[in-house]
Amino acid sequence: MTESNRYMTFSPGSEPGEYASGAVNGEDAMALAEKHLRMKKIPHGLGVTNKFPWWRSIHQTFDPTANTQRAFLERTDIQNNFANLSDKTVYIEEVRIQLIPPAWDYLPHQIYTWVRMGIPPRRQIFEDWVPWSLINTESDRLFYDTELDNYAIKLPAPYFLQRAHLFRVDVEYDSDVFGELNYNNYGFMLGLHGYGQRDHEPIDIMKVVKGWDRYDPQTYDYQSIIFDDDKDRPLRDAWITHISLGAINSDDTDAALQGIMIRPIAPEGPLWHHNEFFRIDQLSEQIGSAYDARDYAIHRPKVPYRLEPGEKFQIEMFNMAYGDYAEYSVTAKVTLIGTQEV
Amino acid sequence: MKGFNYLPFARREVLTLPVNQDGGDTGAAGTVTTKLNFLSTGGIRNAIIEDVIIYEGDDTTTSPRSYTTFGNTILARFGVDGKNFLTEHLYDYRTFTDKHCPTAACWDWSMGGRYPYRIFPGEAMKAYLGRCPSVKNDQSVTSDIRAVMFSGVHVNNLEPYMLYQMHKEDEQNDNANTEDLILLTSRHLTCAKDSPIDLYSVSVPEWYSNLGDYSIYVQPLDANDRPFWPDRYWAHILDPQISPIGFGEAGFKVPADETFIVELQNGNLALAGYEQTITVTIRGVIEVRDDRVK
Repeated sequence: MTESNRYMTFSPGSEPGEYASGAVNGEDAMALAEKHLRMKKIPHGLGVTNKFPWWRSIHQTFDPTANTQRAFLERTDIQNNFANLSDKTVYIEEVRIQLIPPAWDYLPHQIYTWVRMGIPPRRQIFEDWVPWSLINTESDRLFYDTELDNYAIKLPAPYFLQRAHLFRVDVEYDSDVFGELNYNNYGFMLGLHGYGQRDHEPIDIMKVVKGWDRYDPQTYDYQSIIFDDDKDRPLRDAWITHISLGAINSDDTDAALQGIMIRPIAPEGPLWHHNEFFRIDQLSEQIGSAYDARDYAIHRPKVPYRLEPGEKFQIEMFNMAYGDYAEYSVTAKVTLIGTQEV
Repeated sequence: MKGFNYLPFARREVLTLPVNQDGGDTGAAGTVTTKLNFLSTGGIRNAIIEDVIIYEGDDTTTSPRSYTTFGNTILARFGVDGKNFLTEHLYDYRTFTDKHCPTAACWDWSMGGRYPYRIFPGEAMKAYLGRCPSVKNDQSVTSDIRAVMFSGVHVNNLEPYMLYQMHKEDEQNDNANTEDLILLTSRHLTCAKDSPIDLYSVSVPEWYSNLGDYSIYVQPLDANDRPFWPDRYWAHILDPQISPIGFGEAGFKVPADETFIVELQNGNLALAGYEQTITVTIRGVIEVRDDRVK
């Protein structure tokens, strides 16, 4: 067993071959039912993979009138968000930058926000500032559909979810876009998708999330969606490959599901998110429209960046505040997507 | 592959499909070839074609979308001259599409990293950058920043490695109908000292990336000053305004002494009574001998 105390929380004192009993919350009805189904030997969650998903995200708003100088993209409350504080190597497979303009039809930030990044002191990836959209490495990473109301996030590595173990996803609305939308009477479907460990048959576990009321947004509250009842907990050991979010009862194609933020809490293995919420479209490869595509730069090198223990991925951005555009601020969200050795 | 290097290339032809007089399926067909003889500097083994882009309009057009006018009336088939076509019949060209429409001005020519272009210590990339004159007059942009980035892999330590250069203009240039061309060269476009670099994509920043109403043109040059494509005014090489027709992860391999053909035909629907101007672009890599690739 590793240093993960999270594992201990969710699977106390399991013995070889006796995993199911009391696997979740002590005497659990589901766990008892599991006894009738279980096989002679259940693979141990941490023993079946040496790679876990790893995500990190930070966001910051640049106000060019107040600050035309460069700004280190570090949140003061999460100073080490892009640092590898574990004792195993992290592989960063993708750097995704989303720039949220002050208005949907306002786009000069595409050129006038500049970036440089690196892993000091080992190497600086760009020594000089470059326009942010230059870091694209492939042009068709994101795709869009005008009818699209659903998002699916592909995990950077499949996550092994033992049967009868719960999985939690916290959901929150991004206050940046919430005010424009009416989620009243809308619900959302949150799903885990993957395949069985032994039979390789598809596994889809769905859960309904109640929508927020527009007029009582509770912007900074979040809901914890726990996949833990009889219907939505996997009866088989599962490899979870995708997390999805779908709209229910919505014929509004502009329903901006991308304003919804999630935070998965996996029962085993290292945390892959450092307590951060992610806007769903920051991780998804689907976007709402062609216009939205202009807000993203996707840097996905053919080989991953290696982030050794103790190293920190550093990214700096600044708004050039050029000419007529000087008065507008821009919010940047940077997301690192990768895997972590276990 | 050992002993070979892969040079990115694009070729383009603009052709006019004549009126399909009888409205049937016997209309005259236009063809376009890769013209591989242009590339014959020796040592070429194959052209590996990554994708084909069929655009309804001429190659200076900046309209945001293709197939808004003649859709469903342009039929196509692909093949090698003197050999088989992939399909015997011609079909609406859109049925061949298997790629997403690009959302950023970036071309990854390597087909998943399979065919990178390797440069060696002491060598450097270059790029011409400018704006298409035909586009330029329409813009009210007062200044622009031009830059280019080649993304690659440091061969010795297997880490990402970027070659890049940028150039900022300060002067007003919103109404000049001149070529407005710059050549980017710098130490940042130079190969690492300690290792070859495998390059796999090139990108430029864009004002509007997907709507096509602003078009930066770019003409990258490889380490031997060979342009990736012959005409620096070609628009939308990096950011096609339509989903490309791909040929899978391995590409369509055409031996150097053969000719790739795209055959187009004016279809048999209502719009067949009109002449149609079509721009066909192919993108891919040329496989050449290079003993330095171990």
